[in-house]
Amino acid sequence: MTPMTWTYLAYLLICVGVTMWVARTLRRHGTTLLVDGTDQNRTLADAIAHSLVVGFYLCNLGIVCLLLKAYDPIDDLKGSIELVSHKVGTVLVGLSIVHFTVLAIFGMARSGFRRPRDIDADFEAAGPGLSAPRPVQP
Amino acid sequence: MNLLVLGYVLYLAASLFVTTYVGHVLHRESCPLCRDVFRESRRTADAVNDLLLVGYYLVNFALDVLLLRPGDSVIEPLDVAEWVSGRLGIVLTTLGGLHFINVSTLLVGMRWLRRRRLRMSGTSGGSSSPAAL
Repeated sequence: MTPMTWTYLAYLLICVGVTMWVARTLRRHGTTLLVDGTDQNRTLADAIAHSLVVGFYLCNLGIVCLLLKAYDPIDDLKGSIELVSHKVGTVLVGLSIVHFTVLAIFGMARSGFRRPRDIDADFEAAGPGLSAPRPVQP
Repeated sequence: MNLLVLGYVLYLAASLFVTTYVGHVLHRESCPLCRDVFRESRRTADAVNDLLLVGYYLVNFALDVLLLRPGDSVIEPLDVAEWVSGRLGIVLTTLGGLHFINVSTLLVGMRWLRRRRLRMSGTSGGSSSPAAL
């Protein structure tokens, strides 16, 4: 085991750990975000959340694999720490970009779950016989 | 068997496995989404879902095989790991990007169809299942 191998192993451990943690958080809160805390249409929301989390894993593990290769060989602990921190930093920036993309898609899906405003107004005008729109939280 | 062949075998096994597994999972998970978008006919929804899966397999298997080219010199075992990791990285990132594009397209279609349905049916038709839209 050369220092290079240890560096790669440490990098992989840190990056895969962070990716899994963020993905689990997304998975746990994604469905709630989509259905707005209600139990309506949970199957569809769960399916959308799961497939988005799969895409999140793919993109992030792809970035982690792409950035693995180090072009300057290292031979001591100092170089190893510098290399790992540089690579982990790059991966975290990429991870945050993918995370915000996923959140934007979640937002898009969420607006697909709710009624458009003009139709809400029609519902309100039609009276209480129809199912009333959800009250807007301040 | 030299190191490059070992790299090829590792890369092919990993990428084909990931492609098939992810295709299977996404096919299962996109079923409710497709059925929501094409709610008039369940058979249309399943057909679209299957067609999307076939397209996904075509694009990704092609990508997997296309990337099977020797890169820089592969001398040590660590070079094999770097080569496999770089190629897998390209495959996974492309797969994830394509997947996000697919899901966004379905979601945009879902929203568009939903608005059109509500507009065409008016308030009385829209009251049947507003929460499920």
